[in-house]
Amino acid sequence: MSASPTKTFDSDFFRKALVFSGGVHLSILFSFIVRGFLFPSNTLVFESAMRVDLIALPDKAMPEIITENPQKEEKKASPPVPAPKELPTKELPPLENELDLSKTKKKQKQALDKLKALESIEKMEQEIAPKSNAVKGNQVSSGNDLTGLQKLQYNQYISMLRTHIKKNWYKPDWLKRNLICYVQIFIDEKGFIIGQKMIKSSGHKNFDQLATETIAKASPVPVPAAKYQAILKTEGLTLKFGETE
Amino acid sequence: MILKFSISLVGALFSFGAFAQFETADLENSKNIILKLGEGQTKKSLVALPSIQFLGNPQINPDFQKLGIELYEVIQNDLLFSTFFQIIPSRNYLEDPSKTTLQKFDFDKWRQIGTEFLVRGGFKIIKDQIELEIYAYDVAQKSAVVSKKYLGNKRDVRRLAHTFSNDFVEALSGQKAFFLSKFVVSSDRSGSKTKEIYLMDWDARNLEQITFHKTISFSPNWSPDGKSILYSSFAQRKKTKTRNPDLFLYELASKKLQHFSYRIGMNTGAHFMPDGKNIILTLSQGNNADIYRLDLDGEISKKLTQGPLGAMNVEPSPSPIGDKIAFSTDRSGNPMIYVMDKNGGNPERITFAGKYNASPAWSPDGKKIAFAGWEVDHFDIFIINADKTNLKRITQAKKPGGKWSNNEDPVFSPDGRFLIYTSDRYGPKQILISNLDGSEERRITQDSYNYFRPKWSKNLD
Repeated sequence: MSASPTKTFDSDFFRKALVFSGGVHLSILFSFIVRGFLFPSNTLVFESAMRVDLIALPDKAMPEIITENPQKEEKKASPPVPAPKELPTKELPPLENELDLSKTKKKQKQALDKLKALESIEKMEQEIAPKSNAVKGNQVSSGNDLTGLQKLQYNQYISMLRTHIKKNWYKPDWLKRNLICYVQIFIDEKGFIIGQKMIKSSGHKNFDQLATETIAKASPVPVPAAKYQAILKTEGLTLKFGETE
Repeated sequence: MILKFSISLVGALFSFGAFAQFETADLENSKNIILKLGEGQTKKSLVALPSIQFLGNPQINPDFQKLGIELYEVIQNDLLFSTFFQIIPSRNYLEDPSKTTLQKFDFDKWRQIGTEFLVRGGFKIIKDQIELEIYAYDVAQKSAVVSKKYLGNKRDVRRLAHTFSNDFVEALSGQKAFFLSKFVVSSDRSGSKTKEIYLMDWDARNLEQITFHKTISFSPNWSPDGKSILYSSFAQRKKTKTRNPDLFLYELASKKLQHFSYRIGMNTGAHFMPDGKNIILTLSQGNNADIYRLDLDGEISKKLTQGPLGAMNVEPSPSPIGDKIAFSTDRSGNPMIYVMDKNGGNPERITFAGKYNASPAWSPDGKKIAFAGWEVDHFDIFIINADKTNLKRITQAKKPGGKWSNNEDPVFSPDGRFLIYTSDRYGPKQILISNLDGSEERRITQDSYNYFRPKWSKNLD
């Protein structure tokens, strides 16, 4: 008995409330539409969503700066120089010019001898290299190709050599980047670099000179195993200084 | 043969230097193993810099010692700050430079102590003029890298020395150094409650005050030609007797001061565009601090940022070629560095780390942006590539009390090799310089005043 009037009252109230609510909503909507036409708002700027993270900023990483102590001059083992008497004395016109520049005759003679020695070794190497491996007559050359384990060991040696030479390879900060030169070096059985040849210059005098100095400083290098001594002495190795960015 | 020809043909298609390309490729592909040694480590070159000799008559010119010392000190300081060189102490010399001439001496005696470059200089005084004759020799090559005579007024003795340093570094590196450049900076030198605008040489010498408003003058900046300075100031307006952060343009030669932009609210952080025909700055018209572009009459030619939603957009900094503008904005919550096109399009967020990133500055090659970043309790300097990669911290130093110091307002050097910034690690905010990796930090100003927002000019005539 008591449930039915309550029900009627509820549904009446609900209907009225619904109509009222609908009316209010429509009028709000209408007023917004009218406002939109009569008072256009400023242009809205739509921008793509941004990632908003809180990431810690990185710590400072300090690079290593190399400075030289000017008081100490590094003394390195000098490469073996063949006795001057064995050497040819021809074909050295550029050295003659250098004579005029220097004054101390004694020192200059020593330097000259050393340069002659190096140059002649280079020449001798060039002459000897192709002949030594040539197969002549009824003999079989052992050849220079390395395979299998030998190849692996050789690669390991090369990597050791790279680390060794790299330690000596530094250049001044003012020298431009993107300079490259290729130098061929020849290593004897004791690890001494017995000759070097600039295959491709960087075009920059200082850079080429630094490469040459690096090689001189790096000698002697780790002693190569007997198996690949011939390759290193005759065919040599090519070093690439610098890199393209 | 055919193969070789086709390879070289392909090379020719890809490069003008076809021959060189082919040669290198040939080398790399040859049977020989190539040991790649890379760029190598960098080292400083050893320079011997004996005293600058006086070549005139000491009795006629009693001030020769002072001038000689000044010439020497400027060159020494320049060479050390270039970070290319290490100077050999004179006690190591094997030859007494005073007993030889500028051009006749024994190269070997210098080579033996490891000298790579020898600088020999001498000077004469002719009335009010100084003639500096100076040589820089490559000791290994036994040849002169620089051999010059500079003539200038006695007053400009530092300038003569800087000019030589510039020539020496350029002869070696092929790139102009910055020894004839200046800073413009706001400082409290004239009183702790005011800030005025000052000019100084890059080595903090030849200080010159250029504003006398007796109020807060700040955010100075150079015009691209180095002849004018833009700055903001709370200078009192003559008619209304009110104060507002207005923008001024000051011509250095004529000392003409122009009240450039005086809109109500901020007229700050002004920066010339690289073409010198427009100025970008922050104006706070209405509620928002936004970036605007003004023409040289001070009229707004474009509003470059549009809020949004009450966000501030400040500290605009144009890229070196003027195609982009870096700025800081808090539109994404915390203030971060953004880059947009010169007309305001395509805003792109560059930094995502830290809580507060501000005051962006471009490197001269347009590849890097330096900024000050706040994480917990202090600002430090950071560099990020413009492509958002490679974020690096440049500074991290404690004050004597043990707290972290604030390092702010970074600017790249004109040659792009260095950064300067202000730091309070010594107490007052001083100007420091460092390499781009944060190494070789050195103090430039050596006093007890505060410096704010230094800006670096190009080499000035």
